Amino acid sequence: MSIMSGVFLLFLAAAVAVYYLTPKKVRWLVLLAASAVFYLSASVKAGAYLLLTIAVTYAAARVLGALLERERAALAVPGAPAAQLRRRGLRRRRLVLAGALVLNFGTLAVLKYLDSWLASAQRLLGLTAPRLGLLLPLGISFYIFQTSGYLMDVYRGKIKPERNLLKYALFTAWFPQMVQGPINRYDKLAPQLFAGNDFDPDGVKYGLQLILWGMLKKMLIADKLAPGVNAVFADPTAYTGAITGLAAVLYSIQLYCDFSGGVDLVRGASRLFGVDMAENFNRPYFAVSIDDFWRRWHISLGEWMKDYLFYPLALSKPLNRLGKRLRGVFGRRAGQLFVPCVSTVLVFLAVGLWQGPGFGNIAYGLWNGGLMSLGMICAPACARLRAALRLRDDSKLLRIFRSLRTFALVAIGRCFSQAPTFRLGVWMLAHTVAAFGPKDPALLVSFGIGSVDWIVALTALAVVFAVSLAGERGVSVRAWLDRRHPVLQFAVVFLAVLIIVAGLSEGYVPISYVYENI
Amino acid sequence: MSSKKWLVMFPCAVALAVLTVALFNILVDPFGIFGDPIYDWYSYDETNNPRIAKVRWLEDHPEDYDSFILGSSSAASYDPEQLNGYLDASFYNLFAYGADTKDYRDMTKYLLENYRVKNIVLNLGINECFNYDVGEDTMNNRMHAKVTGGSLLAFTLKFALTTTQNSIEKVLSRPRDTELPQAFDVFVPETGVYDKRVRDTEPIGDLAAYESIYAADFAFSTAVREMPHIDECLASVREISDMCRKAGVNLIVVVNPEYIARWNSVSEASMRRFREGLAQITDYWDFALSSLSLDSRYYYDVDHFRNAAGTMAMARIFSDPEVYVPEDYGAFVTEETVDAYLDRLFSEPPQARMEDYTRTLPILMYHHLEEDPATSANVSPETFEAHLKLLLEHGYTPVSLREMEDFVTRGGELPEKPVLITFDDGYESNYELAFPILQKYGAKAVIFPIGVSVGKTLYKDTDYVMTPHFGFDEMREMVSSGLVEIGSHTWDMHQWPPFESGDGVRENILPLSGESEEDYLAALRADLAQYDAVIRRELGQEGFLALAYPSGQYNTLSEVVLYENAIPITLTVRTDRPNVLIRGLPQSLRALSRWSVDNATTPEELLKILGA
Repeated sequence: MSIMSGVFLLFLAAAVAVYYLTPKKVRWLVLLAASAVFYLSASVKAGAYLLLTIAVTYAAARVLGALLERERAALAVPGAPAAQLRRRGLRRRRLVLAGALVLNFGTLAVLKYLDSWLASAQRLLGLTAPRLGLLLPLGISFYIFQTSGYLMDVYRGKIKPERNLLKYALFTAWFPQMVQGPINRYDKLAPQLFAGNDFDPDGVKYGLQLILWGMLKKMLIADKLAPGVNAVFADPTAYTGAITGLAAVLYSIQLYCDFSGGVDLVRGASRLFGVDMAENFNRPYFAVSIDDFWRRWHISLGEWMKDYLFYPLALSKPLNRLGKRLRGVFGRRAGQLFVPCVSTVLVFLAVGLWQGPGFGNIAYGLWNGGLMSLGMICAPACARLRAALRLRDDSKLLRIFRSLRTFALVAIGRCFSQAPTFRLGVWMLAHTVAAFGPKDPALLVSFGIGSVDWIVALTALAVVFAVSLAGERGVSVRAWLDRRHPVLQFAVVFLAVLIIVAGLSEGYVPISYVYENI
Repeated sequence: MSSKKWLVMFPCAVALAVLTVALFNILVDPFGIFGDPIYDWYSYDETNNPRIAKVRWLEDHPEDYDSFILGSSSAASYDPEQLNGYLDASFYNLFAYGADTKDYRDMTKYLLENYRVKNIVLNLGINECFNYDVGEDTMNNRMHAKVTGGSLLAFTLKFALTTTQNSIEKVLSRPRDTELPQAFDVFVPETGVYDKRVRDTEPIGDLAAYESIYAADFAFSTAVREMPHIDECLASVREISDMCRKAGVNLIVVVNPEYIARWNSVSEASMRRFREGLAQITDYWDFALSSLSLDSRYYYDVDHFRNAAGTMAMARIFSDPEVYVPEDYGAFVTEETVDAYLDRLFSEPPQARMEDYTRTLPILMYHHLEEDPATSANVSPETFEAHLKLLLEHGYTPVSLREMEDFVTRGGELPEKPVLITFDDGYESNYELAFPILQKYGAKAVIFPIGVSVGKTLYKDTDYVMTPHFGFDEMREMVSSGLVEIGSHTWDMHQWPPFESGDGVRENILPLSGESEEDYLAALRADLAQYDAVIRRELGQEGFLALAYPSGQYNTLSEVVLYENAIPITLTVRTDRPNVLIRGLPQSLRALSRWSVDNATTPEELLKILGA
């Protein structure tokens, strides 16, 4: 079932009702049952892949936990050869972890990339063979990352492995996170899932508000812009530069409203059960730099990458040795920057690949990683320039400029991965500059978005912008609304629900979430 | 507001929102399920979902109909009013696009249970053996729960709580509604048929032009296939037949005409099996393969035969002498005759020879005749006589409008090389100079006087002197000779601006700039009615067989209005396509080309016009 459907909302309402009517001790079983119903209603076959991942990671974590226990017990014996024991323990754990991760990411790679790689190979060799047409299970990129993070936490001894297989299955398959994340951490999520939460009016209210907000963003902005954006990206050569440029900007807006709208919806859904899932967005388009942007966009993925890829890389011995050697050749600063820059580029390469196969995604990763490294390298020069221009760091104008620049850089990067081919993405950007003038101004309103849709989307966008701007200034519109007259509060909720009911019932064909197929 | 209060308020807001949506959908009713309380716009509702809106229409008009046509969009071409005449019944065409034989069975059951039914005409074709039980999943194709027997509550709720998009579209479409059908209102609710006035007035004589305009609509894969649902189709027909027999209902089963490309796409074995099976169940009329199949002009597209072909089919069944029907069109098949019939059907492919059912007809246009013409636009009597002699010598026969119409609608005869001689405006010289020459040679001609200027020498109202026009006495004399017919050049829609005072001068039949469609239609209809009344009074003639468009100007709307006004022939001044009259296709009489002839026209030029 699509989460943008009346069926899902009814399912959700029923699950919430059953949850709070069930004795506290077994409430987590209600969550598990709801998750099973949700996931299997999408595809039973996908459920088999999910079960495989649950089984593999559950077992691996239990083994890792046992190894750690044994290691600790051995170390506790007085006079034991500590260094030797630690080394041996580490080696064993590494072996288990590596095996599990290879299995985990191997499943992802086969299901997600194999077809595309085979196709490329066939193209290169001039062969034709049928595509495998493997099923890409719903949410696989998300639950693979979540379970891998869990394994690494167990490996590091940060958490104890879950002993109850069913509880572990719930942690992995908690239905709100299965469409497009966020990627949750065991230590944060699991206790809330298993606790048997009390009915908390504030939390439920917040959950409902999040659901409304997320659905409206998706319906009124993302889905209205999608047809036009898709048309231009499908064949940019058919449009003038002004349109391709506009499409690049609109795509970033669409993507934000689609992705964050979807995550708001599922975080809201989760909140109805008293379960707080990880934050994923923090008004990313107000970011003042690429570095800042990635702390505000898809936060749960960024944090995952930081903890499980960036730090291991940055602290790894080979890289640091190389950095030290370079320090001798190119000077202290170059040597210092080497490790973080290389790690950053590698991390974003992974982010690009996580998005999907194809060179466009690799380019997207390199673009972001490269820009971030460039930012680190140029930071002192930029500071000097600002000083020379007598620009204060808190200057409003500078702030706006930096936000717009960041937005532009992000939008440019997305052209690489969103266009049918990387080359076409680059062409599109060049075309925007080289052939900007619209040959026919009417094209501006006729490239797939009707005039009514424009009005709806822009009005909704203005509201989202205003709410975000207020948030950026520390004003919560939610809290503000809470203090208004009840009639106004009722009117706002009524209007929001009306728009959703009017648009969402029988006959509405939901547009898939952009990140649903990742 | 405290969170607890908020949580009480929330379900109230949801309930109110759901109620609001339901109310909006019920009041606007884009599918015609709730009786369309505000708009009463069933041509729109039936377009959105013919199954549901038609059931509701019947419910609202229970006494108006006692006989029904069942079928998919092909059956749209059967005219209920024609059948009413044959069977003394009140037919409703219950066809629905994309319908299949399961729908027909359910619908028969529903009709017999709820209405007093005298006749059912059941149309079957290739499509009925290709699709079975499809379409229930879309809003546009879902059948009414009263017909399928599903839960009425769930059905009603579904449509009340459907996305408001459908209702909003209806609200937005309303101001764009026009006289002619658009994509959103293609049905005639009173009879249930498609509103095909536009395609039924399109000029279709020139085969090459027709095939190029509609190339995409006739493109069809030629791969030969088996029909997958013959058994389901036959089982449904058996049930329908049994139900009708028990209820004493007259069931007429018709197998519809197919275009040759469509016919050829199905294997002979499939075609035989279907027909043999059908004959075991019921007698039927088979129109599928005939000479009509070979000419695309009898079809709107590869899947749909024209209304004219439907008219001919019904005329064959009821032996109507007033309608032309090709000899090989339609066979009555029974259990006893089916084997012989099928052997003949597959061993003797149909033939269609153009000379048997079409005529190319050049039309000449004259205006004023004058001794020693001042300009070459006027023709001297000597030139006119020379023209007449020339065409007679070359074997051309001047024909009348009546003969043209007779050829097309009743299959009357036309000479091998017909020609139509016409005079526009109704000048006195037509009577004084041309009529004697016509009498001398016994040649037929048509004169199109402007109604308001008959018998006038001065321009109406403003009294400017103008070329004299003959009067009704002269008109009567010419008509009684049997050589001259009077057509319409409009009553007063060929005004001459220099002689007019005031604004809104109508030089031709087209709308004035800025004129609303409503005002225009009223003006055009009033003009036609005025002339009809005068010609009935003066000549005892019922309307006109033809109208020559002033200055040759016309548009689709004017064509449709004249068609509705029972004017079968229209003439323009275009010269870019030949006139081809086709038996059985009244639209081949429309927007005919006419070649202007003047004093400077040489014999060679005239022969070129004639196509000699």
